[in-house]
Amino acid sequence: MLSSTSNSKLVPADIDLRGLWRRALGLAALGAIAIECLLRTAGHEPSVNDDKVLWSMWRGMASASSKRNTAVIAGSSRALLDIDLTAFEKAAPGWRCIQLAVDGTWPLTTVEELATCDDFRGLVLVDLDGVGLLEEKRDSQARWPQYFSNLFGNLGWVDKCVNHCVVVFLQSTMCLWTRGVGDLVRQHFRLRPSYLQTGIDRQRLAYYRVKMTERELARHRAWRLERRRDEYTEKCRAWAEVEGGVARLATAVRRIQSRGGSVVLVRLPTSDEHLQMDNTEFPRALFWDRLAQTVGCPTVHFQDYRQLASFECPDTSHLDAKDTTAFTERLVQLAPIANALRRSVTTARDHSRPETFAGSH
Amino acid sequence: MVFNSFTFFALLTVAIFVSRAQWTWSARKAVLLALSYLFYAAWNPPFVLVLVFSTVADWHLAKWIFGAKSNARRRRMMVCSLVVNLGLLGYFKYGGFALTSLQQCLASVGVPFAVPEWSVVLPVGISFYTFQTLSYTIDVFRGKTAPWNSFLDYALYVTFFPQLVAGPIVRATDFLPQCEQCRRATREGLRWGALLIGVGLFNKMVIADQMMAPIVEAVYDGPSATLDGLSAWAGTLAFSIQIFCDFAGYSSCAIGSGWCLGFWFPDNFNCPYAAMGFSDFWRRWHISLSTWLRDYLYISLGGNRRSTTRTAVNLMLTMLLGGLWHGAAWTFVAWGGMHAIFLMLERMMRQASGLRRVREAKWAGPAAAVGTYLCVCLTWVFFRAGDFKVAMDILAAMFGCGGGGGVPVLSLTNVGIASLGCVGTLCVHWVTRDMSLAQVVSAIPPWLRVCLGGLMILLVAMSFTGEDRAFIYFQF
Repeated sequence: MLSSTSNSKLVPADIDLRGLWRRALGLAALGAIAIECLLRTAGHEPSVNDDKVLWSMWRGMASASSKRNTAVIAGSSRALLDIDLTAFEKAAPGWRCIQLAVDGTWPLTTVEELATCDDFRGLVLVDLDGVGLLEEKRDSQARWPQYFSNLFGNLGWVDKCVNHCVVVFLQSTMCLWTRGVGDLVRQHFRLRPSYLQTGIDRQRLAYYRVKMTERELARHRAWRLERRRDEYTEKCRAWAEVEGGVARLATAVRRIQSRGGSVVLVRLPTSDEHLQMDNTEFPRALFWDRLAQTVGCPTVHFQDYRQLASFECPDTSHLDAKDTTAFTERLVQLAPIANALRRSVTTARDHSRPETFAGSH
Repeated sequence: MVFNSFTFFALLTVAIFVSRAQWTWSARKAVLLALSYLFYAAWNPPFVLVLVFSTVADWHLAKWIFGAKSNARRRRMMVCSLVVNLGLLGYFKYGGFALTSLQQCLASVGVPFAVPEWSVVLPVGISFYTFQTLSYTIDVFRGKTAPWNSFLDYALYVTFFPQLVAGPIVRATDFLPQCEQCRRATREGLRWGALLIGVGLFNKMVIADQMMAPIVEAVYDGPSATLDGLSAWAGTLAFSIQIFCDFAGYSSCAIGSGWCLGFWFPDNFNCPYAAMGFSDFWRRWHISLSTWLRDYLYISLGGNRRSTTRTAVNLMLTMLLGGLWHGAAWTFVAWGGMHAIFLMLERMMRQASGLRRVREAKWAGPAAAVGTYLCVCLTWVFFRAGDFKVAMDILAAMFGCGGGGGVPVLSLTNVGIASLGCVGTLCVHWVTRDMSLAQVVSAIPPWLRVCLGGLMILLVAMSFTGEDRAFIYFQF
């Protein structure tokens, strides 16, 4: 249809739209409240849609907080779900914890990108396993640092970030904005709440025990194992398959350490068949222990510490939301991490101490 | 900055306040111009200089064309304007494409050629504002209009934010006279403008982004060699709805924003999927571009005033260049070429006296509309596919010659959404093909207007999920 009237370029004057917008807005507001109540009654909770813009904004914060002790979590879904940022900051007073892990990818490129940033001198906790060092997985997270560079490469980021802040705020307060209309239609308006919940700080919690039935959890566990089996080779991998990744990681670690930062590699818990497959493909003595010797930074393997190994992974690979606080508290208190936190503080103090030698004579 | 963003609403609100402020008309125009530059700079500030250069260059060239003492000098100034505008387009948009094509050409005859690195950022909207300034200088050259006296008005014409980055391509003769008289946002203008913006956002955010885009991406961005026929058709139909709702949605927002500020823009779409034939389609689809190509390219080449063969050549050249305008890729050229072929076939059918009885049949109109729509969908395959291989795979799947047949790519739900969207759009277009917005609104009872308006606002609000989907025509 033509937007203008057939014989005039002016807006149509013979149709009265007075009151239309007031009433339509009122109706929309009522509809929004009704849908929100329906979703909340069905057990839904507000959850932020995690995307590259949000990741980039937090990555930008990691650089911007260079004057403050900053710990960055880099890794995959295990780091996203197992580590409680609030618990970390409570256990390490004076430290800010920023979540840069990305679901379904491995963190080598993120660590390398942090290594190139002179402003970053904090602590990087890297959630890593043998799979993440294989050639086909090494660059799996590359699009996120690349997006960060492109976004902040020009002043256009102001517009994008302002808009995203508003959207993220809305998503964190109301369930209405988490799932788009398209998703609702495609899932036939099924109101089953998700077991995952993401906050503005990218903290993600998995409520396996609260939001899943036993049957759903069993199915989810089977699906998780099936995914692992798709990549499983049923035999021990050769060191040569990960050597290139280890070398890249070692270079990035040295760079971060050379300007006073710290890196700690962490092997987060897996269990049952998942752990068996991990141990078959990447036997501890041939991989993790050799990695610890090669890469030049402290490492933490969950099996070395009873206080970490006792946690249950409902889906064989991630912790339940109820366990993340306790797990994180125990993790931060472990010697390699506590020492790294202390070392970074001392180094930061050294970097900020004014030069007195020149003026002392 | 895009229309479906909070920052744009903030900018538009400021512009409306400026429009209604008790300042002089010149002062208000100056602030609107500043806001337009801010709108453009929100994408990438340094490229404002390209916009300024294009504006200033054609302002002076038009004056020199008008003031030239000899025809030879007039032509030289006109050629300068063509070189400046098409040169900007060529450099930013077609440089890499030209080098790659040259490399392929030379490689086919055994001559190796290493392509130099060409990583030039394409300034958003350059295809639109260069055509807009070019139309100004050509109109001055042809004597259709005199150069405008006020640089402020002219700069506002080039830069006005509602239509800057994706049209409609506004003619100077339509916009500049509006700048002479004081224009102010009125309550009626705000109400109707808001209606158009609401309809535009609904088309873009709900139908194009939420409903159709995931279906299109699953088909066109996934492996094409094993695509099944049903998914290929559903994906293509979904794209026909996506591109219409995306682009028409943008145009609605642009025209509505103009109304909110007291300015009138020409229509850009008029129920194109109810078109009976390709000539009718191009009178309804991206009207501002098709009329631009007709007036400044097709007619300049001779139009249909020469022989039949020459007319066909003119038509083919116009449509090929029209395709190339959309993007630096041969698939866009192929899209334009297909439209040219369909237009020529239509001419031949119209001239065939034996088909007169068929044309006059009662069912001829709807049949022609459906037939035209399906042919247009076939051309969309080339428009959307990343390369010829993907396009041919999808066409093969659509006609049962593909390598698919295993697990369908799309679920039945997605096929249903695409089908419903297609049928719904065709019905709405057919029913409203000869109606204006006012006629459509007056045909709806007031209580239903409120319900539809409320539903539209709610669905648009729920579609602010943060998903980053730019308007499709921003890439042109």
